[in-house]
Amino acid sequence: MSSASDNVTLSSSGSGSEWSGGDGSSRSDGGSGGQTVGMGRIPMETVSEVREDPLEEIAESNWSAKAGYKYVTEDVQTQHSFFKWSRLLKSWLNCIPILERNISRDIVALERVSGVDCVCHGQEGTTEGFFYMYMCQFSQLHVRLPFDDFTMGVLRLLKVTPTHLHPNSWAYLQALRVLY
Amino acid sequence: MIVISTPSLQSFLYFYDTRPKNPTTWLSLISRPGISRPKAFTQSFKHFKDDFFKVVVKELGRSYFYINDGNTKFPFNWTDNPWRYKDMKRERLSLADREVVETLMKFNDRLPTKGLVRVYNLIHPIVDIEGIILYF
Repeated sequence: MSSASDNVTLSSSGSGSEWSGGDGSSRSDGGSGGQTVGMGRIPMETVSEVREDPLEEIAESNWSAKAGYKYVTEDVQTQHSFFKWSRLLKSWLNCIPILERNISRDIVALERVSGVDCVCHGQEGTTEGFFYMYMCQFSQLHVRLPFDDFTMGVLRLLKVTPTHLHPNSWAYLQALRVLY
Repeated sequence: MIVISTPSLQSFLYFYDTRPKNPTTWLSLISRPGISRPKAFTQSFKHFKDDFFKVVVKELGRSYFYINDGNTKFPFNWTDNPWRYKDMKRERLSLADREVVETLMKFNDRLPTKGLVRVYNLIHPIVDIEGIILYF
């Protein structure tokens, strides 16, 4: 099953973009042209085919239901990401700044979300730590990575991950942050 | 002129209650009734729920997101026990926090939240989001 998380780097230059697949699945399975088989690094431009997740993968999620997340309300659990395709995500990220200035692009990799995952799902079976972010946090609220101590402190105090706090509340954080 | 030397999270949270009280869904900070506070962002986000993507921390970024013992600097997952509070008492604040709160209360009903967010827009000009949507 191709649950490999397609990876979008912040580099727009293409060459030297690094794939850092979290689950070790083969990038070439399903054969997107085949030209990249066995290569650890491929230029961004070759990411020409990004498929939607197979239907059975989505159906499967209904039964397995990620049972550990029953405490989260259903409207959260049933909301899947618009960014199922790397190319779509990449085209947005080309226009929307994610990082603070003077921060290396290599601190994070931004990835599309498979059709089975929702925003409250966690780290099961992944080797690299990750969290989710909403695009509007960057595009409209001008949040940038890495977060400052104030932002991380509030998240820690409230015991919420960035997507758990409603974007309207992020607006307060962003507004008041300049005063602190 | 505001002079606040050290960030004080309690003094920020003092101006809000959390909602909802019970189920685990998006947690909101709600301005406390009767307390002069920054105006709400005039735009209300409703259609954000499906626009999420993954941020994977790479080796080079670890120091920004992890503390030395390997724990993350903020939760990476949805938790079932966010801190919910209501009517934070001013007496519970430290002296420094109380000063911050009092300073903010003196004028902050005039603080346009949206305007402050726009400060970021000036610093980080972005492409008009509607233009991007048109692109699709």
